[in-house]
Amino acid sequence: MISAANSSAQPPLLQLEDIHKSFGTLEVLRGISLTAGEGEVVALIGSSGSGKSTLLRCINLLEVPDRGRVVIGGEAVAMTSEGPHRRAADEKQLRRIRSGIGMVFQSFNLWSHMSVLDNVMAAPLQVQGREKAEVREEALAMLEKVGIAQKADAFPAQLSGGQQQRAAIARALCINPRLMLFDEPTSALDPELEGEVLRVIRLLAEEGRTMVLVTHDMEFARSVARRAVFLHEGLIEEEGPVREVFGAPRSERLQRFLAAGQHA
Amino acid sequence: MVDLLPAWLADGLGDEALFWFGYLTDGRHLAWYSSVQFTLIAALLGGLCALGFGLLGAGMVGSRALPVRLFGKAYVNMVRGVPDVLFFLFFPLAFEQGVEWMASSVICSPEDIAANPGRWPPCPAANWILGTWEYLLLASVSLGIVYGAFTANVIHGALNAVPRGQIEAARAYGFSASQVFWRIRVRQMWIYALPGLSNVWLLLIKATALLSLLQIVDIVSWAGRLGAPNFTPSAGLVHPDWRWYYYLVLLLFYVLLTFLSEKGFAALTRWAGRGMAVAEARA
Repeated sequence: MISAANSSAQPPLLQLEDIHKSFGTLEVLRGISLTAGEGEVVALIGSSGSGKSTLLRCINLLEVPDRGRVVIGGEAVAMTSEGPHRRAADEKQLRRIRSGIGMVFQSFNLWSHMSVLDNVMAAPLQVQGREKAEVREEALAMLEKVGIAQKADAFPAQLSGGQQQRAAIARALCINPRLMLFDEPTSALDPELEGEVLRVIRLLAEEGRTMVLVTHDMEFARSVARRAVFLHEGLIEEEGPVREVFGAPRSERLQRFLAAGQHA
Repeated sequence: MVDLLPAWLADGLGDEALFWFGYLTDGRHLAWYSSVQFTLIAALLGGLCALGFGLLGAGMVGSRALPVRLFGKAYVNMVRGVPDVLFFLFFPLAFEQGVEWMASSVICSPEDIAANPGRWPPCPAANWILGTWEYLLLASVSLGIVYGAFTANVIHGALNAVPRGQIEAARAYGFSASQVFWRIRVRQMWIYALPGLSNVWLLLIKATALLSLLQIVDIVSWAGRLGAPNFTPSAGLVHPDWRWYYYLVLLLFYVLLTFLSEKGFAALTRWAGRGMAVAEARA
């Protein structure tokens, strides 16, 4: 619990402290600290294998960091002792924290046996225990917002990739998340379908939602994020306001990374 | 039964048809027909048990706790290799004697036991006499244990075929482990499991022909009795060895069960496949 003294100081919504993660002998994250304040949009960029997706997945403990702290809204996520077998120590706390974080995956990961509407309603009903009529109304409003209200009763497999990803965003919105995580949300989409998803994410950014975004799309990162973090081999190589990171990169690696992206 | 027919029908049928109608509806034949219930009950109850043991076994095989996992693996791998006939004989007897042994340690006085040296059960009061229904229940559980091992194997594979990303999404949204297991993994695995489960179900149906081993007078025993050369004191030889006719009827009965099962599984597959990309790719 946050003490009165702390809450008046308003801790940043998300704090990662000295995050380390290895898979076997492969060291993917080598000590990363990162914060995101209320209403901030942070883009994680970097080449494949730089650890940006793993870092994102450490935020809601889909990957448990071997070392380091994850603090959400001033509350540290309880974990067992450090090492490769580390896991969440308090299942209840983990579920509560997770139920406030909306995650959007590269491959959508909608539950294929449920209609789109049921997908959006599932977590509010079964995890948050909210009232059905209210959730249904909100779910329909969210589907309206992402522009696929007419697909509410369809199954995910009957939707295009762009529609599925927008449904997944509606699913994330319907839990009233205080933090949203996007893991390469457009990488599995055909270029002509990317736009519809990017428009929705941009809309959310303009609403002042707190978001952490892993993306390959530099143009998009630049236009949507306030801050960009460039990862290289499991460490933060450079970070700052997007204007500086994209406009005047200091590190040579970032300069090369951005130059390579422009030709791609 | 012949006297139950309305007069106009009895007159219209003719003597020969009436004779056969009377023959096929005599008390022994009616008993044969009603013994179908044992087969059907054993199949349904055994099937339910197999599904229960299968889910349990699959859950154990997939468990994170090593002892549980080992026990699950031992069950799945060993029981699948045991001949069902043998297990069918072993389990009800072992269970019966186990109950009697436990009962005897409570009921029997030392004097009783001393009075019955080397006898089983140790004292008459501990004797558990099993009737048809008790044997039927034990038979169903035996079927459930044997075919549950196959079911567990099928379900274990099917659970692992559920896309990882969907399981991960459920975890990311705060679903508990048991919610993820039941609402996502078990709910989705049917489309992968049903082809294998229909095989196990047909094997289980076939094994119901073994009920007579447990002193249950089932359709197979009745067919043997009714088909055997038949004498009556008044009429002499009623018919010679007709067993193969009777067994043929049973064969047709099992063909019919198979046909109905396939229909049932087709309907289940349609249900399980709603919205699933796997099913649409198959269709």
